[in-house]
Amino acid sequence: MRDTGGLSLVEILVATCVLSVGLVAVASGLRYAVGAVESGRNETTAIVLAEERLELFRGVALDSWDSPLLAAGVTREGYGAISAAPRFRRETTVVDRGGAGCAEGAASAVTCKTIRVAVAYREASGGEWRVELSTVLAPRP
Amino acid sequence: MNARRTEDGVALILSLIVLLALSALVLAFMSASVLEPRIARNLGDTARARWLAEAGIEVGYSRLIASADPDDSWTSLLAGATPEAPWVPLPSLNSSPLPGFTLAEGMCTVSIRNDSAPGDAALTGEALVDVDAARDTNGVVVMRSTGTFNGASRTIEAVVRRHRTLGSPAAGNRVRHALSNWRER
Repeated sequence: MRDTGGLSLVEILVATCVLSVGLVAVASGLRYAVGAVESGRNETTAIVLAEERLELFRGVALDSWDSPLLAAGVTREGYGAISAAPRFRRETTVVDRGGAGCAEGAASAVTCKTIRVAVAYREASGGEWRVELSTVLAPRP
Repeated sequence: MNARRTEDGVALILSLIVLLALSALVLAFMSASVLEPRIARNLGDTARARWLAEAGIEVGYSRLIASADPDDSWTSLLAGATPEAPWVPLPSLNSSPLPGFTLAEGMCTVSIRNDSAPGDAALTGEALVDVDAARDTNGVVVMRSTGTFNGASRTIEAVVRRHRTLGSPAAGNRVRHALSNWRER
């Protein structure tokens, strides 16, 4: 009866040891994978937020070139300011470039606008990451 | 004795099987997840290339407006165009950074061609297309802008036209420009 007991205490201890060591390895692998997916998601969100801003500016530029939104300067949206993505901040810089700074041979009265949108976010692993998109808008005379 | 032999080490084997199954799952998840940052980076590179191409169209448009041949055409910019190679890069916009941009921010090439290729009437919507690839008589050209960033590139084409509207002599003649028929290639 004693011999047919099957699982001995030693055997269970060894099995538990092996299983726990293995589970720790599996869990760290899982953490790494989740972190990679998360950072990819953050970067994608940042790109979408930057593109959203550029699309808005382009729409406004085609609609009314003199809109105050397109005035030269820097617009900052801090963390929490973008309601759909509170963990992202966004910085939009508009620079007026007149004449040859816009295009070769352009009259000095012609002013292009260089739009740069930078979106920054904090990664769970620490550090702030940045995504930057830029474009140029030109007036339609 | 017989029972003991079959059940010996069963817990260890079971735990190893469970571990194997779990690590296979995690390994599959990991190999899928390492792609995620790469996908995001590609998306970012493509977005930058596309907005660079858009910027190229805008700068090229300003460049075309600034260029004024005496006969209100763009013939001087089309110099060297042939039916086989109709695209002519605009001066200083040939694989170079745009004005105000650094080389690290990507390069842009803006070229134009005359609306003299077969099927261009459908593209431009003009009944009167040009015949000579190097001579613009109707004030319509096709502009192509390619933005390149970090190996990703995007191309956008648009039709540019100029119309001379006759005003009173005092006001002078006004040349109106239009940009239309955008398409991403």
